[in-house]
Amino acid sequence: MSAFSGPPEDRAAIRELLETYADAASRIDKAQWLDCWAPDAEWITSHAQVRGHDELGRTWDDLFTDMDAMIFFAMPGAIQVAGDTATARCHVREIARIGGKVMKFAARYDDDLVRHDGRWRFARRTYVMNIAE
Amino acid sequence: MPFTGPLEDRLAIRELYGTYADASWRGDRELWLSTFAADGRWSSHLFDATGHDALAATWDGLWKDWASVAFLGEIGAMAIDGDMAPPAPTPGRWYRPKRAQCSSFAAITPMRSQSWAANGSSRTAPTQ
Repeated sequence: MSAFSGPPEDRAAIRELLETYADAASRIDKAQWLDCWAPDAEWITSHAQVRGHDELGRTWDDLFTDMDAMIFFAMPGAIQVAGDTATARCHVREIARIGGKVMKFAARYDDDLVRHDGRWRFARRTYVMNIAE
Repeated sequence: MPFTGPLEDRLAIRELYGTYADASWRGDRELWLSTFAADGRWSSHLFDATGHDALAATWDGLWKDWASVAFLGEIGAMAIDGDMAPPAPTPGRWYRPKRAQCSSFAAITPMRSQSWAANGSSRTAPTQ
């Protein structure tokens, strides 16, 4: 199967969702970030595994207790659309100031997506670290 | 150079860059090779390789000392001749030269030393 498959308009919309997520993270915009997730979405990282907007919101608050600046770049490596669900692989570069110290991460998100109320949102994001600096 | 040409081709070219990056991140040599045309050229200040055999040899030489790679590309421009659009855009399967410019970021972890990063290199899209 090709790394990118399905209707071009859905692939473009999912690309824009990945960019909206990156924009929200880079501007520390919690509402926009939460809006990228389906209501019962799951976020799996080495620090936490949470589900639903309430838990996602609390995890965001915890992260940004010590983090006061972040930039977030995202590059889709694969998007496969099948009707109202999709899978994607997204490579990310994060630079964050945490507790006064600048840290850099290069990682991958393995994503499940769902068309919710007519637009694409994340159903599950799984974070896989590649290089931490 | 602005972004010109059919949107469908521009999406396909974005996806080609994505596939190239994905293959680089995951160390997938075959997928990476498939993003180049048969006579595709990869040049930098360190090497200049043309054709899959030379490309593969260059990849092998680089990965001899690499443990992991992070690669991101930001496409700054694309110019596509609409008359040359392929019938079914597929990453790595273009039929006529198309030009794009991509600024890339790479973080590479060598096998036996500290990680280092190189910024601001650019390359020309593989073409056929």
